Amino acid sequence: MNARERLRLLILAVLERQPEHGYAIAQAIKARSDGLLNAREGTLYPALHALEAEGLVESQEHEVGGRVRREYRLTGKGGGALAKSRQAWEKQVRAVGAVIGGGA
Amino acid sequence: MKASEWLVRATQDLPTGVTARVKADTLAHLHDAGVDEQEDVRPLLGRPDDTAAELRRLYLTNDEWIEQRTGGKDRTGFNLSEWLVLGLPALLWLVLEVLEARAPFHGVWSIQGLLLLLLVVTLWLTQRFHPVRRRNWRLWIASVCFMFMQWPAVTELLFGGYVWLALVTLLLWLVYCTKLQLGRDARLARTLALEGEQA
Repeated sequence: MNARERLRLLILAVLERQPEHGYAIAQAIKARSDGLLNAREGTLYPALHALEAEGLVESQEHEVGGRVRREYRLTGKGGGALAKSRQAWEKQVRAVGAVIGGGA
Repeated sequence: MKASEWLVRATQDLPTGVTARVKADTLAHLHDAGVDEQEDVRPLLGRPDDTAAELRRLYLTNDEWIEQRTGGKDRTGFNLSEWLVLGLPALLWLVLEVLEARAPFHGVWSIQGLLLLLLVVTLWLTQRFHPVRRRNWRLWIASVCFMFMQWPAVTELLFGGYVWLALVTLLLWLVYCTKLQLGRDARLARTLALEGEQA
């Protein structure tokens, strides 16, 4: 799984809990990883655009406090893709853990 | 680097609809983060060149977009919406070959049967596409038909009559061309969506 695929997995996992706007997705990734992972805008929005084009997330504009904000939501197809990516990731982690040892 | 400079760098050769969406996303992100547009935005947004590279992977550039719609300033795109002009003789040739062979799914002549099927399916599937996408897919199928119409000559000239070697080579070439066409079509469809057109 390369960096681009990992970012897609992280976005889908964040949206599984609830619909969010872009900045909140970036913050959730940072907070849940204790600051270890950082989704910069430069890669976050292109990834969101790609996920939307593939029908894995959908977005809608809302007006909040006089400002238009775009909220992203996981679709049913996105849920399926998330489950698949999660399995692939867990398999990779198990494989690396088996090689490096140390109870990983 | 101010937000406006960052945006110009990230979106400088993208179509207007794509630029507008990226601008809206970026300004909303800055606002949510409490970063002023006049400050250096790179610590929050990252390098604009990285964003530009990602966006070009997803969307057509402005030049590509104009080229697709109009044929470009040198008309290099041969903006022929009548690519069926090529497709119809191909269809006729395939029907005649299939009828003449009497056994369309037997031996080397099965190529003609499969091509005929592919041609009809492509024409049917693309009928509701945006005109630009439709033209591209019909051009693709016309090219495929042309490639395989030369089948007997290619087999003899390049492969010395080794039919299966020729078939494998042509099929690999077909897979490669189709992969390229699918990638180009996905970028075009995403661009159309942000330009407010039905893909």
